[in-house]
Amino acid sequence: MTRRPFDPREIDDASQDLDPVATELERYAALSASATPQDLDDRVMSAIAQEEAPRSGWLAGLFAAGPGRGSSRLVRASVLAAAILLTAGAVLAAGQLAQVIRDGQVGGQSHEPSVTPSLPPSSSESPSGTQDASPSTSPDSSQSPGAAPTPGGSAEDSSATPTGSGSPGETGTPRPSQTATPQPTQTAQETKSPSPSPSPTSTH
Amino acid sequence: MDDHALVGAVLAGDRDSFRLLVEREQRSVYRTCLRILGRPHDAEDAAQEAFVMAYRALGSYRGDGPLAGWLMRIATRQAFRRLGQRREVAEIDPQLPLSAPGSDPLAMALAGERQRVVRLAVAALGEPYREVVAMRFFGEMSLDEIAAVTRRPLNTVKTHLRRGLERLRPTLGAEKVA
Repeated sequence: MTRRPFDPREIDDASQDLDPVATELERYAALSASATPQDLDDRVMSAIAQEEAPRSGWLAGLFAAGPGRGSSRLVRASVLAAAILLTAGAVLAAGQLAQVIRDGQVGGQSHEPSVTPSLPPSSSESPSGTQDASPSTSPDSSQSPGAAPTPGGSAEDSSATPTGSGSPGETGTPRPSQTATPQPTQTAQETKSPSPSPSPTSTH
Repeated sequence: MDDHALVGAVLAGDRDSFRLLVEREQRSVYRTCLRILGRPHDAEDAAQEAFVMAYRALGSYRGDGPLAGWLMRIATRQAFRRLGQRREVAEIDPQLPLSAPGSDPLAMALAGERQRVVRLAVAALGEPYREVVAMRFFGEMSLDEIAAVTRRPLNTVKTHLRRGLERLRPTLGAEKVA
């Protein structure tokens, strides 16, 4: 017999239908009882001596193949790595989102100022026009007297779009059609190309 | 030394304290592994692996149940894992102790076959029935201990054991096995 004989009341079974099965299991357990090998404890301790000291806390359950899940150490390490990656990704995404929002707010604030320097871009292009064809730029020069020095206005050309778009039409009309016609098209193209940049700022 | 003191000592770096656990539980652990695997050599290896795994995972022991039961669960799982990895062949292990009378080869063969049928029938059970049946009959644990170790309600453990026995009934019916 085993150390703890089965009692049907353990499982609240009054029918005793399962008694033969339990009896067979107990008989098998009694037959297969055997003396413990003499050197088992020494073998275990020599194996333990090669192990690292056990960790305490949740890491122990994560890295050691304990009884909890039965999954391998590799799977647990993979889950941990995935969790770390997901966390890092979430933090990065949140940081980028915050920066985008911040930029959006800054852009929204600088949107109005950007209108002011928006004139230089037209002037920055118009200077090229003034160099190429001084007559066509005369109206622009009137618009960009103060903004003439700003060369870096190309980035702000966007805001210049209204002025630029107006300037080609205006410059083209009054000035001689021969010189004016090619230049308005150029300025129009140039003023269109930067126009995408303003659209984001305008969207913000 | 009680379970918590023993675990605390081992976690503090005292490996010799683990020897106390090994000496205390090696018999029951080895016996459980032998009942699952049927071969002394395999049972010895599985028992050793179970102790090593328990040592590694000792920090995750929360004291929900007795340390012996926690260790027994590790041993049960390890033995079943080992059983699943090996090819089961119909053989009579000469080292396997049998209660068959004398040296009657026929009686020994019948006893060996009966043990093999029981072992394979339990191993073929699905979880969680296999684990509960093995811990109850092979590990000789009480249902309270199983409930504590598995962190399941006692009634759930009872249900698992009853269903496990019901599933074993077609295979382990007295007229089929005996």
